[in-house]
Amino acid sequence: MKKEAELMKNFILLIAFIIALGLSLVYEPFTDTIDVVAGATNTTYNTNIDVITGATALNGDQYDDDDDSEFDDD
Amino acid sequence: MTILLILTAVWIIFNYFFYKLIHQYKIYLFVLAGIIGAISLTQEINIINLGYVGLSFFLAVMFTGVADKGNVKKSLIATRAEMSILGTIFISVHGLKFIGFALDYDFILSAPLYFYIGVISLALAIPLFTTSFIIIRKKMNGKNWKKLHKLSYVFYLFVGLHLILIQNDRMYFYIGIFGLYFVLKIWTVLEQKFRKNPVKKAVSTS
Repeated sequence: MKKEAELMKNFILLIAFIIALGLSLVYEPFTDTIDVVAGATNTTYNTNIDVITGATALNGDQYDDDDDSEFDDD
Repeated sequence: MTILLILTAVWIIFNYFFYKLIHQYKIYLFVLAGIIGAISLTQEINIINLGYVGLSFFLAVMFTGVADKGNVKKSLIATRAEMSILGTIFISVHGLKFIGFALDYDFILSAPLYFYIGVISLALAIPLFTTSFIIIRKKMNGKNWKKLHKLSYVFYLFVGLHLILIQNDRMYFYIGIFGLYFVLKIWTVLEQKFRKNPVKKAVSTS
């Protein structure tokens, strides 16, 4: 019992790690993780530089192109 | 976050099996990390200049301090200095890359708060980094070295604030990680205090 109490923090760390990894796998598509390791940019991992430089917003760009442009040719 | 956690786990596992080799060939590892860091500084985006690799090393070092005794902790303590040096090399790449961005895009004076907090944490890492080398450490008084390395807690605080204030999708993960560290650190400090000054059991004489 005493030994178990001495390892309580390690147990908490292990559980916290498993929960965090599980949640991150749910919220961050694994394909995006592979992409960023390979050097490709994606919305999950390439937010900082874009936001600082004003290229895109965090959850999409309010100036995104849409299909119904008023200048479309008939 | 997935990258960060996987990398941290990889370093811990790798360190567990090869900590003697890491300690023995540390100079080669530092040179290799320097070369990789210099190359990634010239790249557009990768996990090194986004700061994930550096942070993963620091997470391993941070949580070593709050873990319970055991073989994993023993292996991590043996290479704590090496891990910190590698972490600083990679985190410097991240810092320099973003300072470069700030200069290129002319927003060095109008950057978000987390940018300046990041710069401060990078500045804090410099004395910790230089005094982690055994040659310099030997030249220092042991007490002074310990005092100086208390600065690492301020460094962790600034890194935590930097990550949280970015306010991206991973903010809650960072709050969780640094919150857990804070709680476990208090636990460890209290444990150490209790061991030093155990409460004397009252002996009943009745």
